[in-house]
Amino acid sequence: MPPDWFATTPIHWDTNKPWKDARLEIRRLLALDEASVREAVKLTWLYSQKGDIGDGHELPMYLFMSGNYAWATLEYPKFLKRVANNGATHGYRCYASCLAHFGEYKQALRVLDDALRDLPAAPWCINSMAGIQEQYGDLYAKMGDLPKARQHYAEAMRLYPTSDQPYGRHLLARNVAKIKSKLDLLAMQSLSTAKLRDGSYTGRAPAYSETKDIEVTLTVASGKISNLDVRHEEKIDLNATKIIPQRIIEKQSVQVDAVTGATVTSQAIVEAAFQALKQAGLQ
Amino acid sequence: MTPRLKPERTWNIFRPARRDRERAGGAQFLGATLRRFGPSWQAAPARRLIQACCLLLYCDLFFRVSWPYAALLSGQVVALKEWFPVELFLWLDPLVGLSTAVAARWWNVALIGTGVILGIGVIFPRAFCGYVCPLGTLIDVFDFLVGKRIRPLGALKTTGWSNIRFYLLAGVLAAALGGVLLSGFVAAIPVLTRGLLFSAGNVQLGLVKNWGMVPPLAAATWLSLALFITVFLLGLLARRFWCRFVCPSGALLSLPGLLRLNTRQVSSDRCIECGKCIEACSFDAIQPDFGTRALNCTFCQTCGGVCPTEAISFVLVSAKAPTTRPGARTGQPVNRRVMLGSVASGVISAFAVRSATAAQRRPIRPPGSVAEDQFLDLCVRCEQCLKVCPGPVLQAAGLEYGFEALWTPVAVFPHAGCHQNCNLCTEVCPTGAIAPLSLARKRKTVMGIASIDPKICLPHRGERECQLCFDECNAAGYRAIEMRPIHLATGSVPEGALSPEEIEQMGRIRAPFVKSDACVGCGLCEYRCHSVWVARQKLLSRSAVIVKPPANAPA
Repeated sequence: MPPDWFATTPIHWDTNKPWKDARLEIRRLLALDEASVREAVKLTWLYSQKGDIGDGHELPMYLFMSGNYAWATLEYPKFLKRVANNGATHGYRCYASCLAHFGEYKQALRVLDDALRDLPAAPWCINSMAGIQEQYGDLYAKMGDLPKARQHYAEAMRLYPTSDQPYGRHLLARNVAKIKSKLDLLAMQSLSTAKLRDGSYTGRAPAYSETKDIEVTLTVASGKISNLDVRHEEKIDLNATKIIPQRIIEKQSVQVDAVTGATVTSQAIVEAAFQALKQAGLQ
Repeated sequence: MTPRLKPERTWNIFRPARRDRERAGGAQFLGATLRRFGPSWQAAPARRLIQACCLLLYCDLFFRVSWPYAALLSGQVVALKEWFPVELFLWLDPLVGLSTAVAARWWNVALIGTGVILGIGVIFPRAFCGYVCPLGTLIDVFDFLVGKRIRPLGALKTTGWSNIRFYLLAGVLAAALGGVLLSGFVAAIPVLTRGLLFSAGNVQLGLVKNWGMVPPLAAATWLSLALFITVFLLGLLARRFWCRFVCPSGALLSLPGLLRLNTRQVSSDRCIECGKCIEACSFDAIQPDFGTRALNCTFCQTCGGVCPTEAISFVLVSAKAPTTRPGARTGQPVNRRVMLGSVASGVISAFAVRSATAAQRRPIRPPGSVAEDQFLDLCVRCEQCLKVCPGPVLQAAGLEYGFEALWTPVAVFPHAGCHQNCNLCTEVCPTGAIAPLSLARKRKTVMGIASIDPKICLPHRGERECQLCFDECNAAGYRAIEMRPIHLATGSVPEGALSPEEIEQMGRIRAPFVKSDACVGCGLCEYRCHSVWVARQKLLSRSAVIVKPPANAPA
């Protein structure tokens, strides 16, 4: 099983040391150059041959992390079979990623289905479910099935904040933000090719005001952004609520410079206009 | 026909001669028009015109020039004083300059206005009240629209009231000697500016910007509006009741009349005792025998205009004709006991207020404010700084900082942050309670210091990533907040459910810390935190970052 480059890979580590020390060394090496990564993989392999590798999840994981997807694709089913019904969500997700790497989307989807049936116990269950939904979204996005991708992303965004996990709660909002930027990216990609549908669309985004969101009503006429109407209760907007709409109409794009001194307001107008544009160009 | 007085020896320039008024043609049409406005317009149109111009100028300075949002747009603040200083009328109120100089025991710029207006008062006694004072003009407008229709006590015996203003003036100046400034509560122009800010100023803000920006109507607002409305409602008792009997600024303006160079004279030969002048006089300046109460007369010349025999003229004291009606100083001599009583009560209230204020917590003052003790002695509560403050950040203190701080400007950061490109409040203070600062100096002037409560702050609690305060501070160019990683307590996580990166990241987060040497206490961070997490998301009960008064500031 070991690849031929094993023979030429030197080891700078005493393999008699226990696994709990070795894994730290391996994590260190994995972050370095290619030669070190190879050394890390070889060390992992040697420890797994010794049988001193904990529950064994690290062998496929390090293979996956080091880019040995083919090898990881072989190791993951063995590992997952061994730890079945222990809620090893991360294993399922890495396996699905490996399969997706080789274009085996159908098979990857089946692995995620398995993961959903094998969730960890509370209070980590919701976090795992949300992660799986996010990955469904990634897969469908790769397969070009945008409605399904959006649906799963939305489910993940709904789930993350409801997680009752005791630690790492600050990561939940980060995960939601990450998915939101994935969604925006999808929208951007299709916007550039989409023909905007005529009509009026409204988007909202929070800015400074403690009473109201910025509300942008965007009018599309003959496929072009023809007018932006901004309703707001900003206290000091330095005319951003007039200047930014002008810039958007001039450039026919939401990628415009902010007004100095009113950055937050400017960005909120752009965000609200983008929300409105998505309605005009997508769905 | 009796010979007319020689024109070079009279001051009858503010009203047309009777002969001119009765002339046919365009002048007749003008006369008819003036008559529709009322007898005072017909009698002394130039005076009414000057009043109208002064009121218009005041309104222009208050509503247009003091509107900060246009000035901020250029990215750098345009000097407000380009055309006319917006605090012009506050300077002209003599009590503003005099009382603040006495209370703070130091010269200030408003004294120049005091000197000028009192000097003019020697030439034209009390002309400020009759011609310039926008509060007086507004009271005239109220009288024209409301007062004369429903005056319930038109025949009020007023002589007993006539010296209240002198007692008030004595009390205010005695309190100022004791180191407590009370003039802001009662001086004419501060009463007007403050009343206008809380009424028309708030309406302007609500209509032109939005109603969410209008500060909440708190005790300070109601108290000031009540005083403002009372000033006008007093007009239901008698015309110009406030000006005649109450206004201590008017009392101070009366005093140069003791040295007056010019005076009203009534020719005994011509006077037919018709009583039209007594009817026309708003200021109770004419005695039953048609002589002049010199300290009441504002030189408005309306009586001269209504006199059918032209018996009244305004002349140099030295040129006074021998056969005239005798005059008096006021309606009634000043009561020595009451005067001493008001001086004593002024001194006593000064001590009472001083000792009550000592233990109060300190508010956050506008940038460039002098030390708190001196601030209270200099601030005349005109609220001009509130009017020019965008947001507005500056709001009037209620009674929470003690009676002595009532209506003084306080920065309220949950309402808005002090904009980095604005130094307007430092440009408009009439007495120097807020020192003038260039924009560069204002950005280095410490108003307070931000402090982050780790028990509330979302990242400090490990609840959520947030760097609103950090972003806000950097965008404003202060760079007084830095994000530093802190460790969070974690426990066991089930094997295999999460990626190693995620498990590692559970134990740390970047949290904001204030660099106290760079923080000026502008409150932009507090406003942002409050606006997002308290007001909109309702995740926090109060802002996690709060600006407190600077620790090293003199108490």
